[in-house]
Amino acid sequence: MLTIKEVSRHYKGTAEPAVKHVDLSVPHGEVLALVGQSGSGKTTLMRLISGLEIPDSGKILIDDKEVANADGKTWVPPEKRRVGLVFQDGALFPHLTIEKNVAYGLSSKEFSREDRKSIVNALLATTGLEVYRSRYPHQLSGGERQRLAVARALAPKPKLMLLDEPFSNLDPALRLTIREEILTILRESKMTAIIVTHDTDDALAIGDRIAVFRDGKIEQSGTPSEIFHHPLNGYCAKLFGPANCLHRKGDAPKWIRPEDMQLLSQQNSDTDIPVKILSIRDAGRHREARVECLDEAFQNHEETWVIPIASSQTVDQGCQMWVRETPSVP
Amino acid sequence: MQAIARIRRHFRHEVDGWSVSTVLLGLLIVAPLATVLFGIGSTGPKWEHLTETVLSTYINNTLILVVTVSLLSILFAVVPAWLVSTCEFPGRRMFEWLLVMPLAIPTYVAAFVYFQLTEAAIPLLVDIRMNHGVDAFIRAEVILRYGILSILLAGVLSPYLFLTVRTSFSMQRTALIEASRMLGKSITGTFFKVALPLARPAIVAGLSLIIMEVVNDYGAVNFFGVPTLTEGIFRTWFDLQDRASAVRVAGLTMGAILLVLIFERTQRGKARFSESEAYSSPLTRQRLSPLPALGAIFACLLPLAIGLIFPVYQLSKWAWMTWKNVLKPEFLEQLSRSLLLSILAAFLLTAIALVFAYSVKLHPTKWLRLSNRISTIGYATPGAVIAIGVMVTFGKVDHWMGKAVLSGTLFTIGFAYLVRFIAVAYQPVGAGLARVSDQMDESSRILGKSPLFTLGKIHIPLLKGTLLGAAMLVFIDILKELPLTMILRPADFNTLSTTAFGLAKEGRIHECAVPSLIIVGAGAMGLTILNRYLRRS
Repeated sequence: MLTIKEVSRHYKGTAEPAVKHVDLSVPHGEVLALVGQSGSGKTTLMRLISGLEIPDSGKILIDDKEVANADGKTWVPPEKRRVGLVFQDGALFPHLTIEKNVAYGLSSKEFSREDRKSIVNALLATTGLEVYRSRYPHQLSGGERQRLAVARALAPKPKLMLLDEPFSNLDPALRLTIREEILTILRESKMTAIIVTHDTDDALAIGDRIAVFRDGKIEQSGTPSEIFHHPLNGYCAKLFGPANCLHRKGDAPKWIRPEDMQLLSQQNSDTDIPVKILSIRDAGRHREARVECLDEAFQNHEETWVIPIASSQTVDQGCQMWVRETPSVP
Repeated sequence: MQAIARIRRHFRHEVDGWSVSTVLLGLLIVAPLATVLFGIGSTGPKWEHLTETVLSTYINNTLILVVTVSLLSILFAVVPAWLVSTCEFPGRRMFEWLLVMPLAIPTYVAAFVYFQLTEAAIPLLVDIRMNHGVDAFIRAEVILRYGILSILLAGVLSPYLFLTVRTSFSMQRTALIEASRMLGKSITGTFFKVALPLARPAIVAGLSLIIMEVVNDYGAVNFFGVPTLTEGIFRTWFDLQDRASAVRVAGLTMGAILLVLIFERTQRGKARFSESEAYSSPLTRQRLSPLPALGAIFACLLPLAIGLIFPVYQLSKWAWMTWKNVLKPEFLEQLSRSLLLSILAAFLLTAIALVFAYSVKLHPTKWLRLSNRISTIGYATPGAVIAIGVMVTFGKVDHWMGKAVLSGTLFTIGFAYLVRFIAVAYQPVGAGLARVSDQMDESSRILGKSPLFTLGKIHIPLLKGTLLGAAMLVFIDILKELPLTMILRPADFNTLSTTAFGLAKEGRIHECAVPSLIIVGAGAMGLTILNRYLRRS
């Protein structure tokens, strides 16, 4: 559906390119969550895909058709790409009614009057905005505005939807509901979509696949559970929450979620690692122990790990125990 | 090679119908100004005669007026601006906007009104001649003419300074003013030690506007017999019939104005440090006790009396006497035709300004910004200079085509208005477009719409008020314009300003009150629009 090859973009007057030789492909119907900290270049990548920016090198294909190729001088302007884009604050047209906002992208050349009407009606129905059809954007709540932005982008039947931080202006209580609603709308229309977010909860909740973006590059991409349980490196691991680093001498370091580790009172297998309990903390939902690795085979054995304590377990500070990896996802 | 390919690749996306038409139109607009500037090098047959006789008079008169009007304007504008922004006294709010209103009165209209003062002084002059001799008489007469002319020019032009300085005072950080007062300086001491130095860039900006208007003026200096460079351009072109020398005088005038502009720019650059932290709580105004309050009212009333109250009073009196003679069918017919043409020109100009501003929004590049900055330089250029530039340029085109297609047509004068007033429309339209978020454009384009469609469906509806306001301002400026219109108008074409000036020159000074009052009314309306912009931004 979408293929990006070796794409770079370097803004004038900045030391580092915003996007560096990025390769990415998104199959039809997939929802990809592009996650990264602010300034990582994820918004620039969006703008490159939509045609609002021109790549310095590399090429972008939508439906196997080149829309941008820095070498071949191909460049399809944004209005011809059939890409939908939802901005952080919606960027709704303030002087048009809700209905006219949705109908804006439907050209009379392409759609008949009846078609336009039925498309608008259908979208207003799925987004639950029918009752507001003749109101203006400023009369809507934050969540309604965001749903309207999605409806407007969906109207001209784009091949691909891009959503740039669509939830970050919403208050936390509303956020979860809107997230589910928008995901449902995207799924129902079988839309290929990329959602840019800095919030890892959003990414885990909505992405069929997640790509972690850092300093203009994709650090790791995979399914939510792959990304969560098998982070490629410390950056990817810590982005999604606490992780313990296991670094056996001669091996590459490995990052494991605390919940994928278990404390044992005695060694049952050779792979169980001896540790010393440094402290115990009540974290509300469960208790957790901070432990120190006693196995010399680990590069970082002075480093401490955090391991959850099962509710039935008795653990004492200062005693020796064993740790076992219990990966929930293979 | 790679670098060249890279430049070309980026340039390609910046070159489209919008940017190309912006630059081409810009070049057209600059052509007459460039013609004049390059004309500095050429000499006409009468040049030597000019330098030996009147050129120095033109230059001296211009310099004298620039200096006296600037000094008087500082007196008329800076003190009232300080008073209305930092002190509280009866009538303060009224003065705050009334002190801007003299701008509605064109310099030549003020000249009609004040000319009678020189006539009223004749008995005094006769007395001087009898008792002190001819030399004293001549000296007194000159001082009287120059003095009254300077006072009336300062009276109607000082609001430029009042506006820039008032803005500066109200934007100065409250903390600085308060700190100065906590350190034991009185409000007057604070004015001289803190506020005035901080306001220097604003003073320079306001004064440079005043200087441009003084140099631009034709009607008032002509009426008072104080020939400046602008009048010199007229005389060299029409009386001496020496076109090359007229272009040379115009070129020198424009060069001087450019120097003023450059000086103003360097001053503005320095202003940054003081005004960047402008957002602070508004200053609490000091309530004045009765006696100082009376002084403050007087300081505000003085420029108002000179620049607004006396002229409006006098014009109303004359208009009451003569309106039956003036408002005849042929006058009204001519009036409505010229109004229609001015409105048309105003809308065309605003449309062009919209193209310029939209190009920059689509392609926010340095070269387009520079192009627009150069295209809008006409606001600083005296009308007579532009008129000469347009005549010479169009004359060349006509010569090249073998017949007179452009010269002496409505198109010529319309084009000259474009050169002179495009900035008046560009300023508000550009600011308005810049306020519309770029995401509006991007959303529209991603929804499959071209830039033109976006302009029509998004920007024009959003900026309706701004566009109408801009057209209105241009319309009023065309209505008031005198020197350029005098030179370029086709034989049967009259605007309100040329009608009024013609009547006044014929000695029918009471009758010129009706068209003058209409101009003043329109100007007052324009100021009200401007005031709304200033409030909003």
